[in-house]
Amino acid sequence: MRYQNFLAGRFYKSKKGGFLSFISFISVIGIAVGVFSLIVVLSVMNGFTEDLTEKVIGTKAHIYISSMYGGIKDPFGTAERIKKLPGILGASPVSSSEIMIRDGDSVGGGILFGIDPESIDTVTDFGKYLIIGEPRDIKDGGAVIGSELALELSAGINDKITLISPNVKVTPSGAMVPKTVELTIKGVIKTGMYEYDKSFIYADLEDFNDLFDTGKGTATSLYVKIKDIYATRRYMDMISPLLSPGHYMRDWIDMNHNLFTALKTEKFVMGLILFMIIFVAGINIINTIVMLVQEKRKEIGILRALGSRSSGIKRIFLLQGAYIGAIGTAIGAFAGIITVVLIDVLNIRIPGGGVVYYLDVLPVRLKVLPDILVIIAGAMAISLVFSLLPASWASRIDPIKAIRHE
Amino acid sequence: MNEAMLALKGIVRSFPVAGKEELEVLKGIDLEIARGKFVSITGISGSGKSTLLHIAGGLDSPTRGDVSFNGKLLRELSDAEQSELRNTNFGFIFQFHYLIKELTAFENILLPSMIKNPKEDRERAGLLLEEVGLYARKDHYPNQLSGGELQRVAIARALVNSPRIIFADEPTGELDNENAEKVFRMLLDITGKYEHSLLLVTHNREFASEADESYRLHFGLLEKI
Repeated sequence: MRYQNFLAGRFYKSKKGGFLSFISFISVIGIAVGVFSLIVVLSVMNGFTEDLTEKVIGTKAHIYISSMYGGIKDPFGTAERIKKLPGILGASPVSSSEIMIRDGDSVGGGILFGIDPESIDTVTDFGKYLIIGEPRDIKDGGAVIGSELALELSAGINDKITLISPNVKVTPSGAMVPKTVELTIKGVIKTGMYEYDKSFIYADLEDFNDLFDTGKGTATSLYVKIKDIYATRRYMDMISPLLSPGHYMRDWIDMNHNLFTALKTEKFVMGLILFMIIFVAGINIINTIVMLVQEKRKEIGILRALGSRSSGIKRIFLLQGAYIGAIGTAIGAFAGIITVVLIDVLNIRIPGGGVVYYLDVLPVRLKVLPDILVIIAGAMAISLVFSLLPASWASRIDPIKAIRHE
Repeated sequence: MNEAMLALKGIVRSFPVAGKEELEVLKGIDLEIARGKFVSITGISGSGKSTLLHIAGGLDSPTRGDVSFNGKLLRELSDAEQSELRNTNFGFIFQFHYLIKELTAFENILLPSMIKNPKEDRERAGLLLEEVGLYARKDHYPNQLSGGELQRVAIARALVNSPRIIFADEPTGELDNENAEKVFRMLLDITGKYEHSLLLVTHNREFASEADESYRLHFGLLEKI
């Protein structure tokens, strides 16, 4: 065994009792708390981001195809051609527009989606989020509304709902009145996203076209679902030659750019703040090793006399920092991982979840790569870097002065 | 005289003293130690005996002058080379045992061998423990040993790498007469048996007189007795 490792181990174990032991304990706890907090907080943020991503792309498409000249003229034909490409999981025409909803004497806002009930589930999780009804129920004047909207309207299955289009029609008397359509509620959808559940209404694509006069068999966009959601650019390059001029594409990342950038920035800043805990613990490591070096001056002198190189002395004290870092990191990582697993298993409910926040339960996602590895490597690096200063000082101690120190 | 293994030439060592001129402790020492020889140095307290021993052993550097071992100047060696020289060719015994309290007697003896090579020579360490009569106490820590026993362990530690020369700085200074005699005889026996050179710094004139060459350090200069 290398003598540096052997002595470092013995010196570390010898710090039983006394102030040095207390300082060393504080350093270990500091590192552990930092690692624990980072693992738990970043895992919750990962869970939050993934849950949000799942919900955002669950109700919408991975790739949106639209036309600069109103709607897509042959959405079903185009969808069939796109579906033949490798890695395409589905393509479905969808139209959407803001509408007004009349509820007795009051009027509220919403977003109407005109969908093809046969193919919508190949591009979104529409069917999965339906808590009442089936996608095909929207045929023949049926509608599916968001759960929050249903509560707001006190509407139930088979109740009528009147939608008012921004388009106007001219009556025989020459008056211009908005176009309206009356649909029967056949289903309720609950995505867990409050904003969606409060405003989304789904109807058959042809009912949408009637209401907005967009022409039979057309759609404002084509939703495409792909195999690898992070390779949208590649798929868009494949789809592009199949589209006639005037069509353009956007992916889910573009459409939600601000949201995901904000989440990423929040995670980075939170990580940075929590790393400060480890940084402070690192300063404690300096104190611990400085005190240990002071206590071991005589031993440093004798080791130099016995032939230890200055680099050997440095390694002994560097290892002290490594032990503190490793023990603290191991405790923190273990406690952090156990906590994350418990949060996941226990499905901890968020107070106000589903109303104040879009989530019902605290989501967690443990990412070994890169999160856990970066946290562990960061904590170890801080421990070693902060040990370097006192270890270098120890290696420069004059052996004669150290021996005479006695 | 045999060819010198360790040679000190014109060694001057001065120390800065606050508000005064530098204090010159050693004023031009010449000393040669041949293989297997026992050299003793006596002198009053503060005469610079330990300083001279530390310079000879490469633990301290002279202000002027040169120390050479087998013809190699110590000042021309790197830190790593000097450390290796101290580890393999020099053995140190101090007035206080300076054993590492976290290690057992056996581990303390083994330490220089571990520094030399991670595959330490446990056999030789065990043999030396037997020679100093402490094999039964091999697993005892320094705080479980008496003063004489501690110094015997320190002797064994100095010898574990079979050094060419032992530097002993008042090795019996902390012991009572009986233990001092026992430790000194043991040191002489073992160094004689393995043909180690011995540079002994001591207050004890009786021990000093048994050396092949005896010197007295007086006003910074060596006088042969």
